[in-house]
Amino acid sequence: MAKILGDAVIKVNGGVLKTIEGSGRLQTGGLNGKTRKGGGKIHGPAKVMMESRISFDVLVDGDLDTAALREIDDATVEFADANGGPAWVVNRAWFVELGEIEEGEDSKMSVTLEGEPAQKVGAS
Amino acid sequence: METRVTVTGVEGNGIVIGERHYTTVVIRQLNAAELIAAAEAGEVLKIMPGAGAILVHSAVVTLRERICRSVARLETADGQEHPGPLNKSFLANFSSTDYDRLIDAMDEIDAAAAGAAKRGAELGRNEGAGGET
Repeated sequence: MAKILGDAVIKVNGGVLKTIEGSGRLQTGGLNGKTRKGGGKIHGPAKVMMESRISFDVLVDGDLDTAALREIDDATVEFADANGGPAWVVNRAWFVELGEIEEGEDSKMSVTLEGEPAQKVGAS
Repeated sequence: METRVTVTGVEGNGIVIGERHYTTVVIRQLNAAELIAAAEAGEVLKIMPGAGAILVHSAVVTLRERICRSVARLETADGQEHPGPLNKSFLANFSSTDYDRLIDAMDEIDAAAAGAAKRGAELGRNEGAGGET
């Protein structure tokens, strides 16, 4: 499954999360291959629909609202490839996991969302 | 204040994201903070030999930032929406005609807002003139 590193823009309820540039990772989801087997035999290929997975870091400052992050159930995610490649969109994403807070000058926390398979911008 | 702009995209079938074809862009008026942020995004600090640090302003970048921030949402013909502001990386999917239309729409909104403010000020002065102290 495609995994892309880039800049994630997370839009929730008319606002945009303060993500840290370059911290985003996207697994695009969609159809994944799987081997069907049983009874000591390999039966052949199968396809399994997989969700997309978006992880990114947010700035830990006075505006950070972890309760609001946990409430995310219909975010729009825009993902721009850091290498200048195509952009991707996840039309509906929801909260899955909060990571640890990393202390320091640029204190940050990782957030993971999952959602509908990502759609490539400029493709049908 | 909002206005709707029809866009065709580079392939003539709208701004395509997966199976969705967005053919309408809704442009809104920016507030003061957003205008300042767009202008700031167009400024770059350059170090020039012998001249030190110079703040260079790019009108092209500022215009692009204003347009992206002005986009309230994209809409498909059947009412599906993608929220704004517009991601800069999406601009490659707009035709040059689309871009011109977005600039025109933004200018129309600014002109309408300026006209409304002027009329409001004039109305205020007229009402004030007839008042008693």
